[in-house]
Amino acid sequence: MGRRGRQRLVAPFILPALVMYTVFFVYPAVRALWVSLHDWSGYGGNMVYIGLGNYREMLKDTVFRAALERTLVISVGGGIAIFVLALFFAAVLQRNLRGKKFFRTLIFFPMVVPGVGLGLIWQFMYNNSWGPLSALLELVGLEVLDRVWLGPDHIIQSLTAAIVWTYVGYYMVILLAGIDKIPPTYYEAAFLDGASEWKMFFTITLPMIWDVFVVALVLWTIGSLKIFDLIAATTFPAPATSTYTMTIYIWAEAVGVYTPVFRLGYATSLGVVLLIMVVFAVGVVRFLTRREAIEY
Amino acid sequence: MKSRKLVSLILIVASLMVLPLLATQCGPAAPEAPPSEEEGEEVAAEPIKIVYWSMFSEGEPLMKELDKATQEFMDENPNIEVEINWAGRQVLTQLQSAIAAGTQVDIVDHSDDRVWNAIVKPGLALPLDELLEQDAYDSDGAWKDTFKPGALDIGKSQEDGHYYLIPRDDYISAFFYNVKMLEELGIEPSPGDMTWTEFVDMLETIKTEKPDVSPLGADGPVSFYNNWYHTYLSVRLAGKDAFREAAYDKTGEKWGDPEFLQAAKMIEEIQGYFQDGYEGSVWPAAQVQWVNSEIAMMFCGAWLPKEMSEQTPEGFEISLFGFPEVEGGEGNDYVEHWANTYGVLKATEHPDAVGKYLQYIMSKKVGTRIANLGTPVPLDGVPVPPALENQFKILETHTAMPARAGLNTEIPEYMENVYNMCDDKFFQGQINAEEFIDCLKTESANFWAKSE
Repeated sequence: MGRRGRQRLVAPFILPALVMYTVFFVYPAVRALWVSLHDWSGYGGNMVYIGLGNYREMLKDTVFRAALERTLVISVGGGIAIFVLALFFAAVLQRNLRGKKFFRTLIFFPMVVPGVGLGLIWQFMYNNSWGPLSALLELVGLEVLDRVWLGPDHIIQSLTAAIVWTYVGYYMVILLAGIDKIPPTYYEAAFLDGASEWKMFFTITLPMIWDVFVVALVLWTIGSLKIFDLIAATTFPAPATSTYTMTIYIWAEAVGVYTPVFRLGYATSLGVVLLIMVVFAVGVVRFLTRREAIEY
Repeated sequence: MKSRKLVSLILIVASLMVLPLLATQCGPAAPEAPPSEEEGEEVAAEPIKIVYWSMFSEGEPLMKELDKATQEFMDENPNIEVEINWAGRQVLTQLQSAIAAGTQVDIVDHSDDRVWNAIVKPGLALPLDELLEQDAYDSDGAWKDTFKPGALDIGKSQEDGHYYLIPRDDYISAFFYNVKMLEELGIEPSPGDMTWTEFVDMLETIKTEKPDVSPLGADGPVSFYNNWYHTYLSVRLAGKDAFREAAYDKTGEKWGDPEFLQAAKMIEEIQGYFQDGYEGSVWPAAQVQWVNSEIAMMFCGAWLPKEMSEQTPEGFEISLFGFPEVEGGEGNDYVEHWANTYGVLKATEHPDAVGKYLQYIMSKKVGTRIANLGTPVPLDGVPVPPALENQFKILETHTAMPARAGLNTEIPEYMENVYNMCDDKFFQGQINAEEFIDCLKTESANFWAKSE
């Protein structure tokens, strides 16, 4: 079959997906861009075109800047913790250990629980009056380490810890899938040559799962900037204004939390910026992690 | 070249599918025809469906009562079908999409500031003056005369003088206390005229006499609750108008007036009386501690007794007193008063049926049943829930003002991103009184500059 023939054959298969994608992604994205150029409460058709007014406002918006900083702290700090732990667990659980399936399942388990449920669990965990964390510290005589976990001084760290606990299993499974594909002969040869565990990890494991690692990193970059449910549920009914992250701020501006701030136009412009941030961050990650693929 | 043709073909087909959507979304909404006289007559004749989107979720006590009342109404008016969407507290979020999609919604309810900003401000609400002039369901007089004096002002526009909202349950904000605990200490708070000095003395007595009890409770992450203290004290000291002027001052310098700093200093004076870790106490943790007698009192809206009714142990007696007065203050007579309200979309095709329905569910008969659930109802002759008797005493002796002197409704974005942002840091102990005032000055100037 010639090229033309192949194209004729392919087109009908692509078309339904393309139409769906256009209707459910491209159109809303373009529409969001259009809405972001308006002052609009979200109610009725009284949109007022203000050009780049929302974006100019954002440059002077201190709540936006603070929310952005907190989001980046969660993304970078949480990312480092997640990948260190995920690589560690993946490296350990690739071995023929007794009960490794149980531990894999156990570490992955938080991912099967909805974010809202996890948030409520963590809200309970962090409660200073009846939560198990403070109680445990008191039980072992470490009250001095107890903190107001969801207070303004510690809430971002507490949320980051909850996020790391939730997602580490997911990334561990992705990395394990890559590790499982590495032929054992490489390790056997390295072992015979007297390579240490660390040496084998850095010279065999990591280089050979690099592509998988990069995919996982990209997924985390996208996901971490957009995390909403876990944060919203942990701080339910709402975090204090001084502890907003980007997604919470978008929500608060669009539909209000307690105060009836209905600014769908501005919230949409924040969403557009978040989308640009995601695309930019993925580009940076791809650039920083580029290297020749190893074939084996 | 051929592949370009293929891409073009795909794009054309995709565009054809998207264009109708664009046309419906971007085009101006078709003008709503005003309801005619004939439509009014059809109430008695043709089957009519009206749609009410409720702030309640399935299973809530008020939902059950409203559902029952609605069924009664439909039995009495077989030609009117009332369809209710029990949407829950995010009902107004869903309303955004419903309006955009042209879905029929005739009635919505929520707190007055929310309904006001959602449908009255954008001009989507129906004025209800005519409905209020009609006879009440179970009274010889006009419907408006069945409400407690001043209750309807909550939904009255200052701009055009029309009534847009009907209050269903109304609230003041006040200190709610454990009656037995305070009685044990020989304390009987005066409901409406306690002074700040007496208040602080009372807190000190509780702290001294009951060291295992926190005199005050708060769920610190809730900005909307935190800002009660500074707004009330500012209004008490400087007066309502001065407080409002400070918020509207485009330079932010008005916050430098000594009364606002004094208000902040007075809060610093009582911060040590809150429960340990109040700054990270996630709602409703402090409220639970209160009904468990670990906290003596907390400042809240009058929904608190009802909200905590399921967790409240038997025999736990609740009462309330208004925010304390300050010596020489300019605004000692104010009390916050607001309500959960019904609003009607002006796009409704059946205003008469909607009116008839609202008159029924806001009748003395249904109102009494709602009040018996522990909810204060602003209708004359309806019983007052025992825990809230003082609410109505305070309302009789004080001047009602909307939430946060009206600023929550008028400039919610300022309140959220300037006032609450600074106040949270201050209330939660991250900054001191002086830094709080500096924050208000700087952020106010910044807010108004970016808004221009």
